[in-house]
Amino acid sequence: MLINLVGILLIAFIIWWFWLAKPKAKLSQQNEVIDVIADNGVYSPSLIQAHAGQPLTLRFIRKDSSPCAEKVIFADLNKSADLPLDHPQDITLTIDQPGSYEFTCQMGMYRGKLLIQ
Amino acid sequence: MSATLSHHRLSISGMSCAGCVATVEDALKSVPGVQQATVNFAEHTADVEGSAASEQLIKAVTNAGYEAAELRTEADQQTKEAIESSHYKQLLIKTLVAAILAVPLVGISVLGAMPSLEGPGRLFWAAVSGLSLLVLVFSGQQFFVGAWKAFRAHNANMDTLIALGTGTAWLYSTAIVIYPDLVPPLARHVYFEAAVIIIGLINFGSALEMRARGKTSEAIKRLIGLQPKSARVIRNGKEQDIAIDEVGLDETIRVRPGEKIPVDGIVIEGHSTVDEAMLTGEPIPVEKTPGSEVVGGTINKSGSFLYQAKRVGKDTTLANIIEMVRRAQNSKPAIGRLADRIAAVFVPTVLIIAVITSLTWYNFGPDPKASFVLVSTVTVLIIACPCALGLATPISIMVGVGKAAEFGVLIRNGDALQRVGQLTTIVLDKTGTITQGQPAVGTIVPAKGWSEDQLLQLAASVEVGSEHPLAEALVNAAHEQKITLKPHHEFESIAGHGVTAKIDGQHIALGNAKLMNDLNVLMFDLPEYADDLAQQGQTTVYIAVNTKIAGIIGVADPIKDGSIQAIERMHRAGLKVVMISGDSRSAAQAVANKVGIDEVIAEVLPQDKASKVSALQRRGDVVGMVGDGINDAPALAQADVGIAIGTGTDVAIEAGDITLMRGSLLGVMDAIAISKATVRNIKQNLFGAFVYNSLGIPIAAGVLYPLFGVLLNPVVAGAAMAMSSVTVVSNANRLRLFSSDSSRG
Repeated sequence: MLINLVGILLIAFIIWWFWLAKPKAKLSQQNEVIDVIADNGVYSPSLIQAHAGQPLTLRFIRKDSSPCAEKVIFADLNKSADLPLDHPQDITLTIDQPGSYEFTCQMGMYRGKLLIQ
Repeated sequence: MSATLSHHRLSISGMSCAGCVATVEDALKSVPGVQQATVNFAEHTADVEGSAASEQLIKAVTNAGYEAAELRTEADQQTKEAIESSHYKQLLIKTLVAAILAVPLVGISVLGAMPSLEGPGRLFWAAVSGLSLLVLVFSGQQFFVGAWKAFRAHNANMDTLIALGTGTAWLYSTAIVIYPDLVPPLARHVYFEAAVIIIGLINFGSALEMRARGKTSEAIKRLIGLQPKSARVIRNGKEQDIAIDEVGLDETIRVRPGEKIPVDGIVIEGHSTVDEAMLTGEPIPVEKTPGSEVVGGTINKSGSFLYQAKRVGKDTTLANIIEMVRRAQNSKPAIGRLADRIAAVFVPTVLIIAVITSLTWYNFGPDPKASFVLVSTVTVLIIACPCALGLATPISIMVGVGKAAEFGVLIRNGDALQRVGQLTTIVLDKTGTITQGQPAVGTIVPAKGWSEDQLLQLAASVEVGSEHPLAEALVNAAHEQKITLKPHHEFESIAGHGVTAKIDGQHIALGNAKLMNDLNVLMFDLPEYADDLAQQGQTTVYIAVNTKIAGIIGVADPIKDGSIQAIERMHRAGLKVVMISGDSRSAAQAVANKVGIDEVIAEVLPQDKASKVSALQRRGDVVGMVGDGINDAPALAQADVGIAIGTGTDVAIEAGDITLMRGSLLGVMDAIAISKATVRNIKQNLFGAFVYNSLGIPIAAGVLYPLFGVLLNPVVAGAAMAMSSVTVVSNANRLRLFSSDSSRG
């Protein structure tokens, strides 16, 4: 019984942690450059908040030498960049339409999100 | 401009206040050779001008207590290859370390010499537990760190599954070594070798995948490789070799036989032939004389020439092609978006399936329950492969788009690639697409009392200076016949009709039958001749002198090489071929008959072409419009797929969804064939990845056990998972072998 209860709680935790709970977003200030580190399978920060119509510069710094991390793709914005290892790569975006825009590595394991308000 | 002066852009971190700006600037300015250094606090960047190397600048900033790195626009290819090679070696070493422990453990197991978990045997297993922990830390550290970091970011990825699978196996086994009484005697199995082998196999799979991936970017490497490193410029009357980045606009460049042309420009002196095959796929070298355009990256064959740089740096045709291919390689067609959506929820879903699996075995499984729970749960975690799903589309696009570029076919993005395969109708613009777009005088029919030369002289004298394509044909023919032109006065252009002017006091009218009718010119039997010429595909121009007919001149636009063959291939592929033209119906029909067009839309003004394409779409056709990309831009945009056709130097690369660098229509079928092959490849990959996961996960969970008593071994699951992404990449690599009908001749 206890084991079953633990199992059910575990499932509830997985659903809550990965799908319902949101990580704290990094809020971008005007003209600020946000460093995004690509390492160990995650972008840090992975959730970035910005204002519509304002230019937003993301400075990607790739620390992971595996080829998974070598590209960052903003599929909805038709924008992408190759990330050289240990060399920052700037991507400047101006998004007019509020909404949520994902950025991922080529196969979608590294995942991040831009929340445009 | 000094040859050694350069610009560096550094990213600076560690600056906490505006006061740091001055410190960093001073540090940079103290480096010998620096002429100017400006730090931008908001952007955390420094722009440095001078002759200092970037390493010196970084060192100076580091010494001042901050961190710096050079900001680059694109990864240096050599550095990238060095990183990949070192990463590949690391993966092999990690595999080897795992194998050193795994092989003896498997050997003991096969020989049935496994020590018991009781008595002195426990010490052996305690040692194995310690050694396997070392292997997990050395060879699998990246999975555990990655899983933890992803977890903290509310994310779950491949690392999560591997870390949980191998971590659970190790923890369970270690717990049994320490407290054997935790589980009934039947369940007292340890799984150290499984954890170690899985880590080894996944590292090995990643190494193989990396090797295969290297091949997928060969096309872009080849394009980057076309870019020469230096140029021989003439400055102050002296020839000197300088780096390609330093070539300025309008500089004069010398190109010797066998050399690569450094940047785009116009030949000003000399004569040669240039091999443009690497950009256009066109195998025959192109002749270059003063006034001809040359493209950077192509190879000068025979002569030496001087030319003036007209596009440098990021503006060259080659740089644009590289950028377009790179962007397209990173785009995804709609077909891949479903896989993306699944990949986004895949890992948490697998985690839930793993929990359900363990509860099912715990509640309904046979004894020893603990062993079954562990084996099935670990196998579910390990067999699931989101990588294969995530890689299925992008890796095929990488290879397909790159391969297309080798044929002189530039595909803008993944969506265009997918739509090409759905086309039902190809609309071809006549002038410049089916024909050469360079009309030449064909037949001259003088009226009584006039000679051919007199007609040509009058017509060319009126038209000299006009930019109309027919005018150019008349003037060129007069030059070829060495006919002296006369000055004209009172030139007047009547839109849609023709032109009038005065020569030697005589009123000359040049135009179509409508113009002659308006001027009440009697044409006698000339309209019959005109009809004959139109049926041969010639456009006729009437000439009247003082409102009396003097004759007609037929101007023909020769059909391009390959047009007939390409249209035949379109028919064989089941496509309907429509021709659109501004010419008269009879002239357009004549060309259509020669090349085998199914439907002709004639007498269309340039601005109406888009609405004609839209009409075809309304009747259900999926339209691919082929045009020159300049006059046809609206029609190309209206079509489901716009295909811009050019001849290497003058093509508007950004105009269409697809750009054909070679002028021939054969490229259209190359584009269709390679797009279809790529989409087919993506479907195979997606199908494989879906089937693998949707069969593999239930089998791993043990659905076959009640029926056949089969339960998958976690090690087999590890091998299957490692090979699934290698298979996807290898399948995509098959696209590198694609060859088109036109390339086979």
